[in-house]
Amino acid sequence: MPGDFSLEVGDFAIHRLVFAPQTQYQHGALSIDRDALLAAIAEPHVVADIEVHLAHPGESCRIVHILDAVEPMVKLSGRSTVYPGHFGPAIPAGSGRNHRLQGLALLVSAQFPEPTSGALSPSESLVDMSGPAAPYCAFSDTANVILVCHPAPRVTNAEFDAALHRVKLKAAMYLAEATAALTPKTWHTYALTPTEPDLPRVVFVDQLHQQGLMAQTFLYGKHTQGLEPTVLHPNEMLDGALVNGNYRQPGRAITYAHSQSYMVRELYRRHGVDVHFLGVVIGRGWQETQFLKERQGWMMARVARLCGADVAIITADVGGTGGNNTIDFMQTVKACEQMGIRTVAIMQESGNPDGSEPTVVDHVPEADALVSVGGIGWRIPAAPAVQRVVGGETVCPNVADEPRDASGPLDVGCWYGAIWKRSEIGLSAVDA
Amino acid sequence: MTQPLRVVHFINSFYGGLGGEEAAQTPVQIQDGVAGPGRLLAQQLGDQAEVVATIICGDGYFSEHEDDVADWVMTRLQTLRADVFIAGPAFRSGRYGLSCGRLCLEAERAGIPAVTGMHVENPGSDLYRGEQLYIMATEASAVGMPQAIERMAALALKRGRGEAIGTAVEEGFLPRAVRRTVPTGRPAAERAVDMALRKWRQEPYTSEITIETFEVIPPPPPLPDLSSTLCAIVTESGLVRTGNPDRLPSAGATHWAAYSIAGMDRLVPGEWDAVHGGFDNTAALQDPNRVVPLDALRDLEREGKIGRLHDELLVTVGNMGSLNAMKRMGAEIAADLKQRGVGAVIVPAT
Repeated sequence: MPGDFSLEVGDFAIHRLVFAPQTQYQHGALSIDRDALLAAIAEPHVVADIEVHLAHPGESCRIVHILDAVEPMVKLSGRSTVYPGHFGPAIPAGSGRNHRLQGLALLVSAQFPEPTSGALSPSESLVDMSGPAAPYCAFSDTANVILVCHPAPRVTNAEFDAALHRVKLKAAMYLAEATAALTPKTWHTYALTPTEPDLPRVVFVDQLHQQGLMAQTFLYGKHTQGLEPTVLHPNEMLDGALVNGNYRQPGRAITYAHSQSYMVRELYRRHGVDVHFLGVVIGRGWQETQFLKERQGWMMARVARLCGADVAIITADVGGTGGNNTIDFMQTVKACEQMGIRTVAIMQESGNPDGSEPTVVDHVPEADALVSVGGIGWRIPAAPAVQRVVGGETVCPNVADEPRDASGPLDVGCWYGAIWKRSEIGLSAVDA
Repeated sequence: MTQPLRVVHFINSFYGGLGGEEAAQTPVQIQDGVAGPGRLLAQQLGDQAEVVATIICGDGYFSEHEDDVADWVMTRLQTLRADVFIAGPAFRSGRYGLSCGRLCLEAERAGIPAVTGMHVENPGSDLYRGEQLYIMATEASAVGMPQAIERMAALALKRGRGEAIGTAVEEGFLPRAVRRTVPTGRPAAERAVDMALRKWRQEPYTSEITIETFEVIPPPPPLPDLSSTLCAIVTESGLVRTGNPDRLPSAGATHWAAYSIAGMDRLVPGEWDAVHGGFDNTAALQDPNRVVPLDALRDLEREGKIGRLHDELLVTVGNMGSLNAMKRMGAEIAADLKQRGVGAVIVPAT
C-alpha cells in the first residue's frame, strides 16, 4: 500500500566468511568473490586502492583505524532502497521486504590524506577479535568484512570521506544481494500496529552528533547541520536512514548501531506488550551556544509532545554523553519533563579508573531517572600482542604519543564502539 | 590463626558516659579497652579484632581545638599501632559527626583504614563523604545503634584485613563520590524501558547515577590597580607550539606546558597548533590570537592599562579533563605564577 510503513526483514545468519570465485550464501557461510566486490564498490578517482580482509571471532587479529561499520542489507521490494538518499532520491524508507546478513559487519578502515587536529579529526579506534579487551569492543563477536581504503593522490579529506560513504554502503548492498534469490528461514515483521489504548505512548529521542567533517551524521544522504528536530518511523531507522560520519571518539555512534538501534529493537519488542511505540524523534546535539542548546531541548520536546508522547527515552550518540553534548541532552530532558513527558535518559559516566570523578558534567533536577552504561571506576583490560593486524602497521591512541606497533600489547581505552557495547552487555555503575 | 586486628574506637563524652551538654567541654582523653557503645562493638568484632583503647572527647572541646585534637589522636593511633580506626556512630548529631569525619580523614591520610557511621543528614556526612570516607548510613538516633555497630564492625574487619569492599548498597555506607562499573546482566535499553514505565505509573524507581554537584567557585574581587600588576595568560585551549613539543593530549590532560611569548607582539599563524579535541580549531589555526588574545593584551600593555605581561603562556587541554587533575594543575600553575610575582591571571574562554 502506498505510504505505509510496514517492513518485513528476512535474516540470513552468517558464521563463516571465505574468499571464493563466486559470491554466494550457503548454510551460514558467505563466499565472497573479491574481484566482483571490488568492481561493485570502486571509486577509482578518489579511492586508489581497497584491500578486503576477513576476520572472525576468536582470531588473534586486531583491526585498526576503523571509521564506521555497516550492516549488510538489501531491499527486494518497497518504495526506497536501503540506506535511502545514498542511492537516488530520498524516498521515504521503511516499507517492503529486506534481506539482512545477520552476524556480519562490514567495517571501513582508512586514514585521511590531509592533516587534521582539534575536534574535527578522526580518533584511533580498534577492535580485537579475541583476548581480554574483545568483550568490551563492538564487532569482536561478528564475522567481519573489512575494507581498508587508500586515497588517490591529491584527494581532499572531504572528497575521500564522501567516497568512503559510497564504498561502504555499496558493499553492504552487494554482500546482501547474494541472498536475493534465496528464502530466509525467519521473517520479522515491523509495523506500529494498534495496541490497547491504556498503554503508555513512548518515543525514542535520539540526539545525533553533528559538528562538521569527521563529526557528522547523515539523514537520508544529507548531513544534519541545521537539522530541526523531526520524527522518523522506526522502520526508517531499520532501513538505514541514519548513516554515521562521526570519527571523533571511539565511543561514538556507528551506522550499524543506528540501523540496529537497541532502543528501536527494545521498543518494538515491547510494542503492544507494555508500551505503545510512537516513533523516533531525532535532532542534533553539540549546538554552538547556550541559547541554541536550550532551544534544541524545547524543539525536541515539542516534537515529542506533538507526536503524543507520554514517555520519552533519550540517548545521545548511542549513550556517548561526554562534555558539550551533555548540555543539549540535559536541556532536552528538562524540556520533555516540563512538557509533561516522563523521561528516562541513558548516559555514560565520565571519570577516572579510580572512580572518583563527578559522574556527569551537567545536570538538571528533572533528570531524576538515569540509566548508566558505566565507564567510570573501571579500565578495559590490557590487550596482549596479536598475530595479525588489519588496517595499518602502527596505531596512535593519543595524539600526544608517537605512533606505535599496531600488533604489540596495548593498554588503551580507544576500543571501537565501547559505549554501545557496554549498553548492550548491560554494564552500569554503582556507588562503591 | 592470624593476630586479631587492633582497633581504636572514638566516641564523644556523651556516649563515653561523662554527661550531656555539661560535659561537652571535656578535653580529649584515652582509656584502655572499651567504653559505651564500644562494648557492643567488641561483641560484633568477636575474636577477629580487639578494641585496644577508646578515645573520648567533648563535642564543644573538639570544635574549639580541632587541629590539636586531631594531632593528639593521630599520635595515639601510631603508638597503639592501630590497624583500624572506628568513630561513632554519630547518628544525626552534627558536632559529633564533624569530629568523627575529621578524625577518620586524618587516620586515612596516615594510612589507617577508618570507618564511621552517620545519618545521611548529618553535616559531617556532607562534608566528609566527598573525601571518600566510609560512612555507614545509620538511623537519625541511637535507636539504630545495634544495626549501625553491626555494619560498622563488619566493614571495619574487611577494611582492616584489606579485603574487597562491596558496593554502597551492599555494605550500607553512604555514597562517597566513588563509582565502579559493574555488570547488571540486562541491556541498558531494557532497564531504561522498565524505569520509564515505573516513572510513568508513579511507582518508585531508582536512578542509576548519583549526581555529584560541583564546587561553586565565586569570582574573585576586582583588583584595585592593574597598571602596576604583572599579568599572565593561562589557557585550557590546547594551543601549543607547532609539533606539540610537550606532548599535550587532545583529551584528559594531566600536565601543563609553558611557552615563551617574550618579545612577541602577537601569535603568528603556523607557529601554533591547537591540540584540544573538543572544538573545531580551524579559526584558531587561522589566527591563534582568537583563543589567546596576545595582540589585544599587548595593546593594553602599551597603553599602560596592565602593568606587564608575564613572559610565559601557560597551556593545558580542558577537553574531558579529570576534575582531580585539573585541581592539581590549577594549584601548580597558581604556585608557579605566584612565585614569579604574577598578580593577575587572564583565562580566556575557549
